[in-house]
Amino acid sequence: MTAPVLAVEDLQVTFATGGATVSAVDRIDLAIGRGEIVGLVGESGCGKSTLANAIMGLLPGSARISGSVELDGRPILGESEDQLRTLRGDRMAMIFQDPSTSLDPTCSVGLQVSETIRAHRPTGKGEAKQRAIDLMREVGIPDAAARYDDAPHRFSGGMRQRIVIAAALANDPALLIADEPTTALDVTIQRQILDLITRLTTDHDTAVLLISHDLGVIAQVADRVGVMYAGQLVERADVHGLFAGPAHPYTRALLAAMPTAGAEPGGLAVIPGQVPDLSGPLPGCRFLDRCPVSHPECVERPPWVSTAATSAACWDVAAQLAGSDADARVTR
Amino acid sequence: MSALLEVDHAVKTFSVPAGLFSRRAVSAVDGVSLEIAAGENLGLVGESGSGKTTLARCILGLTDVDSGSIRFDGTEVTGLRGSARREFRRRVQPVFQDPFASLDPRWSVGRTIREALDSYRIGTPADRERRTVELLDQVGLSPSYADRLPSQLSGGQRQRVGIAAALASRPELIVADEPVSALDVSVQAQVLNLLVDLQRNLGVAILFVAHDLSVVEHACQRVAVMYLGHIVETGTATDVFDHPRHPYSEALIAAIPYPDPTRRVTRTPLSGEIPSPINPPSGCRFNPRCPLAIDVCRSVRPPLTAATPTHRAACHVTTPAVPTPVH
Amino acid sequence: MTATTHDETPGGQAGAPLRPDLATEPASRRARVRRTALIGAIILGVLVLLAVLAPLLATHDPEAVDAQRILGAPSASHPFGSDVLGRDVFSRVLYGLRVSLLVAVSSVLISSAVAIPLGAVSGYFGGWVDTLISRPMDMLLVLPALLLAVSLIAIVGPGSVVATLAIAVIYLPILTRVMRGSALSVAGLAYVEGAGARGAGHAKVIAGHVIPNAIGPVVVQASILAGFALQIEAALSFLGLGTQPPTPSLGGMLADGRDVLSQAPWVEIFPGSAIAVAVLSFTLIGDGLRTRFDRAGRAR
Repeated sequence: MTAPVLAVEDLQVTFATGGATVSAVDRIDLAIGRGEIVGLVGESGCGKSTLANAIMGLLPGSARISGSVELDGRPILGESEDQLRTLRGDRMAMIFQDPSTSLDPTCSVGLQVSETIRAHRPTGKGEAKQRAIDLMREVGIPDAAARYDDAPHRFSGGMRQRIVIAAALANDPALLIADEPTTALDVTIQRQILDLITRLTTDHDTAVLLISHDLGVIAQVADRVGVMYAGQLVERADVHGLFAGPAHPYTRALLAAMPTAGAEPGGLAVIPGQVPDLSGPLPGCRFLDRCPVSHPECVERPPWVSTAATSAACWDVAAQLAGSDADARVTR
Repeated sequence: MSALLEVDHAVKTFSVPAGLFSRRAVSAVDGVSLEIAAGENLGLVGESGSGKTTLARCILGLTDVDSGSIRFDGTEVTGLRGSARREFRRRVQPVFQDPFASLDPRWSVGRTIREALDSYRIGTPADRERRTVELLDQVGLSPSYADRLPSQLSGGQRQRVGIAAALASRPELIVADEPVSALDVSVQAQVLNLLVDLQRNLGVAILFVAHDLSVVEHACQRVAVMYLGHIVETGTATDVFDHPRHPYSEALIAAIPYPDPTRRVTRTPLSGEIPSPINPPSGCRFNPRCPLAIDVCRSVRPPLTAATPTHRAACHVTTPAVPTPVH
Repeated sequence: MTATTHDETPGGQAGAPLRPDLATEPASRRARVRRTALIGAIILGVLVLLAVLAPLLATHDPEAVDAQRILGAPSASHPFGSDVLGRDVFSRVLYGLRVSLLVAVSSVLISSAVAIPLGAVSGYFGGWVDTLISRPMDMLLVLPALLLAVSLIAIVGPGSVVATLAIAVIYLPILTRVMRGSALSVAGLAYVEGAGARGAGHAKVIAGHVIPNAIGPVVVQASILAGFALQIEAALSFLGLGTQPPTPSLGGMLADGRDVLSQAPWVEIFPGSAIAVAVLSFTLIGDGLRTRFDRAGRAR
C-alpha cells in the first residue's frame, strides 16, 4: 500500500500496578492505509482498547510504552501532551462505546461539535455553527438546525452516537479509531451506525481502526482484520480470507463458539481454560495453555506465517506449511 | 393441554415525572398474550422500549400488571400474597444479566446457592449441603467453589452460580433476563450449552429474554418478537428466523451482523428511531417505520393471527385477520 | 442494553486489574491514605489504652486536692503540672480521657444501633415507610446540635449519661440518612431481588443482604462523628452541663484553666491537646475507612 496513514511498529505497553507488571500489549505491528477499515477483534482483556489508547496517547502515567507509532509519517509516540492535543480531534479522532459519557450532559450538542471545529481551526462562531449543522445533517440528525441547541439527554443512544461521529469527523481527520462504537446500541440502530461510519469514511477517505468483540460486526464492515488474544496479535488477513480460512487455533475456536456457527443447541464449541494472568510469567505464545494443538516450540514467540488466505503467528501453522507433520503433536 | 404459563392481555403502564409537576404515562406492556408449555424454551426478543424486561418482571411476580392476567399452572399470579406467593416464587426463578451484581459479594457461593433451600426450609441442613454440591456439579463447578466468594470467580463462573441458585428449589420455569449478554463469546458458549443441557435434562421451562437474535435462534425452540409493548410475531425458531412474517421481525433479522463477509447487507433494513413509549404511535405501533404500511395500520391495531398452526403474526398486510374475499 | 463484556480472569482482586489503562488512582496515593488511617488507629489505640489503664497509670488520685501544689509547674512527680486546686493534671487528663472516649464511642454506637435498622428499612421499602421515617429525621436535623443537647439537659438534668444520650439523638438523623442512601442503592441490585425471589422474607433480606453491604458509609461517617461527639462532650462539660465535678472531664478542665491561662498554661494546654489528638485520630481513621470502602465498592 502507498504510505500508510497509521503505522504501528513493535508496540509494547506494560503497566506497573500494585507490585505486579501487567504486559497488556505485546509487540504489535499494524498499518492502515487511506480509506481502509481495519477491524481489530478480541475478547475482554485482550488489549485492543489499550492499543487504541496508546495510539491516541490517552494512557495514564503508569503505562510504559515502547515501539513506534507514526501518523502520516510523523512519529507521535514520544510527543508531549500539548502536541498530542493539537492532533486529537484534528488529525486523529476516537469514538467510544458509550455515547452518554462521551458528550457533556450540560452542553448543547451543536456547541460540542462546533467547539471541536474552533479548537483546531480559526473559525468564526457563526461559520462553525453552520458547519456543525451541516455535519449533523450529514450524520442523519433530523431537523439539525432546530436541534443544534438541544442537550444530549434529549436524544436517543443512536442519535447521540451520530453526534459523537459528527464531532469526530468535523475536522476531517486522517485516522478514526472507533472503540466498540455500536456495542451499547440496539441491533437495528447498530446497523444504521455501521452503515454511517462506512459511508462517511469512504467519502472522506479516512483510515479507520474499528475495534469490536463482535466478529459479526467486523465481518460486515472491515476490509482487513486483526485478531488479538491476551495482548498479542495472533492473526491478520483480508476480511474474506480470515472468515473463509482462519488459520490460528484461537480464531478458529472463536468462530466455532459463536451461536451462528450452526452448531446443535447445547453443542457450541467451547475454549477450555481461562485467559492467562497478564502479570505473571507467560509463554511466547500466550494461547498455549488453551490451544488444542501445541508444540514444544510454543514457549517461544511464534513466527508469522502466511497461507493463501491469511497470516497467523503460530508454530502449528508453520509446521503444517513446512509439511513436517511428524512434528505436530496434539496434546489436548 | 393447558400451558404452564399463560399471559393474557397483560398491560403495564409506568408513571414517570415529566417537567416539574406533571407525570406522564409510559406504556411498557400493552396487551401482551403468550404461552409457555412445560419444559419449553421460549425466546423473547426485542430492542429498547420493547417491554420485554417489564414483561419478564411481571411474570416473575416482581411487579404487578395493571390489567390482564398471568396464570402459572392455572393460578393467577397477580395479587398473590403470603404463602401462596412464596410457593409461586419457589416454582418460578430468575437468572439475571449482570454476573457482577447478581451475587451478594459477602456471601460465599455455597450460601447463595443454599438461600432458596434455607428460605423454604427444604430438607435438613445435611440434605442442603448435599444438594449444594449436586447443584454445583450440574453447572460444571467443583465442590471447592462452595466456599469461595464471588470476587474470586470470573464472569462466566458467577453466571453459572446464579443458575445453580435458581435451580435449587427445583423450579418449573426459569425467567432468564439477558443471561449471556454480559459475557464474552467463548464464555457465552459455555453458559448457553449449560442452559440448553439443563433444560433438556431437568425438563425446566425457560423464558429467555434477549436482544441478541443469534443467541435466541441457536438456543430457543420458540420465539416471540416484541416491539414497543406489543408482541408482533410468535412461532418456532425456524418459523420466525427462516420465514419472518412481520416487517419488523424481518428488519431485525436482516440487521443481525453475521460473521460472514460474503453476506453483507447492502441497504439499511430499518431507518428511523424506536419511538418513545410515552407517546406510542396509534394502531400498529410499527406503522411509522413500516415499508408496507397501509391506512388501516394507522388506526387499527392488528391482532396476532395464525398463519400456520405454530406461526402467528400481527400484521394487517402479511397476515390479515379476515381472509381477503376471493374475486 | 448490553454493557461491557466481562473477562474470564477472576475479578480484579487476586489477579491483575482488568483494565489497567483506565486506572486513574496511582497505587502510591492509596498507600499513603492507608498509612494515615493506620497512624490514626495507632494513636487511638494508645489513647484507649491510657484511658483503660488510668487507675494504674495515674500518679495521684485525680480528685485529691493539695494546697501545697497549687498551680505547680510540670515536674517529675507531676508531669503535667497541677491545677488551681493542686490536683495532678496528668492523672486528671487520664481520667478525663476515659469519660470523653466513653461518651464519644458509646453515643455513636447507640446512635448507629438505631440508625442502621431505621435507615435500612427506609431505603429498602421506600414509599410511605421512607416518608414516615425520614420526615421526623429531617425535623431533627433542622435543630442546631448543641442547642438540642442543652435543651435536653435542661429538661433532664446534667451528667455524662445524659450527654451521651443527647449526642446520640443529635447524630441519629445524620446516620439514618447515610444508611438510607446506601441501602437505597444496594436494594436496587440484582442479588437483593434474587434473594426475594429465592424465598427470603423482607426481614431476612434486610438483615442478610442490605445491611451488611450498605453499612460501609455508615461506619465511615460514625468514625468521623465520634470525633465530633468527643468535642461536643467537651463543650458540654465546659459549660458545666456534661460530666459533673468532682469527676474529672477534659472540658471541665478547659473551663478551670481559662482563668489562669497566663500564669499556668499547662492547666489548659494538656487537656486541650488531649482533645485535639483524640479527635484527630478519629478523623484519620474515618478517612482511611472511606478510601477502603470506596475502593472495595459494594457490588464487587
